[in-house]
Amino acid sequence: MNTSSLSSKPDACIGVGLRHLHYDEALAHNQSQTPIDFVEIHAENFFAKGGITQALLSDVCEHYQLSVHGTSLGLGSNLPLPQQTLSQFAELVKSTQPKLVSEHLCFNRAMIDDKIYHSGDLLPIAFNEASLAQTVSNIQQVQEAIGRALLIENLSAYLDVSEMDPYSRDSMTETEFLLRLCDAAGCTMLLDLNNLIVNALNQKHADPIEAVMRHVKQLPQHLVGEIHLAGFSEQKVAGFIVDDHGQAVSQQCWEVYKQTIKCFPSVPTLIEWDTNLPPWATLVEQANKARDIALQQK
Amino acid sequence: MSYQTRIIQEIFDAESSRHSLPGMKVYHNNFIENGIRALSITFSSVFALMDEGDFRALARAYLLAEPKTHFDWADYGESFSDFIMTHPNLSEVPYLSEVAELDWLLQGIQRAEDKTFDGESFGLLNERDPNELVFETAPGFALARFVFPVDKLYQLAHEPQLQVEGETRSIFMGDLNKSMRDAINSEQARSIVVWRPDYKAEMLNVSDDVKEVFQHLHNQDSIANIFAAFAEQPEQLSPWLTEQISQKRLYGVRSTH
Repeated sequence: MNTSSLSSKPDACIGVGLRHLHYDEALAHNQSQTPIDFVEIHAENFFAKGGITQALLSDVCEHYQLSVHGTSLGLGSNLPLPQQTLSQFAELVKSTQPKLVSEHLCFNRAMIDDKIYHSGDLLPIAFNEASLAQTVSNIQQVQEAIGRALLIENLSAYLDVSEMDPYSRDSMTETEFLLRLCDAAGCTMLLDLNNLIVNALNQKHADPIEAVMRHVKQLPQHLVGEIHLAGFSEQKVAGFIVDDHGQAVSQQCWEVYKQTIKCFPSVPTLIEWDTNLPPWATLVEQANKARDIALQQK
Repeated sequence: MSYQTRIIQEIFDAESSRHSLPGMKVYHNNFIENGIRALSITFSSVFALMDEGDFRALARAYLLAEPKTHFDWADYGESFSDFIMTHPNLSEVPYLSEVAELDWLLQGIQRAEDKTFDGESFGLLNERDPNELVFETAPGFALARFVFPVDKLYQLAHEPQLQVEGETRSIFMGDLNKSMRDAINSEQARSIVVWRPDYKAEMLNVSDDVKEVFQHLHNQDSIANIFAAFAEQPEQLSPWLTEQISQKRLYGVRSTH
């Protein structure tokens, strides 16, 4: 594992999401010439037992420190954790020894007609005692399997689950839920600023940035272990802005980041861009911008 | 019914009028778009050979007909080939179902567990009873049968020089059209060996005279069966074996006892 970049850039830790389109360019560059301290991979893309993805993973680990980002465990699901997926996730973590390991505060599946249907999405959960107990238990099982603490990412959500089921009303705010979750499960937070902005915009807050910062300022410094930055497409679905990571980091997100990084200095920051992918050079520019902001706020 | 069950049910419901909240439209749309993207990757040849709008319509219909019951999108689509075969709008492109079958096969091979070539193990051929030995084949090795020239259709979908009009494409299309006519007229399945020598899956058309040998390999039959298949032309065995090793279709020999 190459750590020279970290020793040469000690004041900020900036990563980018590594997607298939960029593999060649990302691996062709000399690490010392690239202002990237780590790359994030989606765990499920590397679950294959063999083949080119395993070889690629090995190459990536030679070039960069790694962040493994899970998207399929559905930690807030009422159903038991999927043991095979958990084993694959744990094996990946153990074999790559990543700098960061994260998952989402969501559910993704349910039993219908004796079959488990999988949405393949990150779906919102109720912020109540039952959800808290279930999610804590699931996170603890994952942490036991991987032998380390998880970072849990806050979600963008397009509905309030209590409107679907009056028996699942929220009994606390998302922030309160996350704080209690981290305390009970021994995990920390992946603070996704874009998700907070998307939620604030969809909830029609008069001042979305103020709404996001109100949330951010309630978080203790020691609980935030990573920050995600992203943008979103202008095209709406059913009147909602969709968190599609399909554009450069939004202006609102940069504005919020300037304030947030002051609260959590030196926390690793990741640029996410998953659809409508730009050239690798554009991602590097975004990473440079994040680094400049992080250093200016010190 | 819990909210989790209800949300999942509504995501899989094609009728947006039954979505209880506007936000459900986003999740339903996410499911469809993610699914179309996943299917276009898994079935990359089908995607390349179809008009994009037609592929999207086909994928959408499949997503609503075949619930996703796997965690990984890469595991979704096993019945896509059958779905295409029975789709009323695709009766004029009967080869698409077989192309989908090939795509699914290749995707499995690309993800198959790695193996290590064991050259020394071939020494067992001189030491042990061949009835007690089997060949260790390459990752994903299989013998598949297709009526249509799916190997050529795969080339048409993926080879860069065939994506532009010109002499190369013109000659190729002439050859492909002849193969397609032959396939429709004879309706006799041809055999194709698929395997992964390193990172990329390969295909080989197999003539009827050696099909039996590859069938034994596919079945993991004993090496004695393979030797027997060369009984009438024993001089062909050694070159055949050399070719299988050099092409990395065989990774070694192992004892079954």
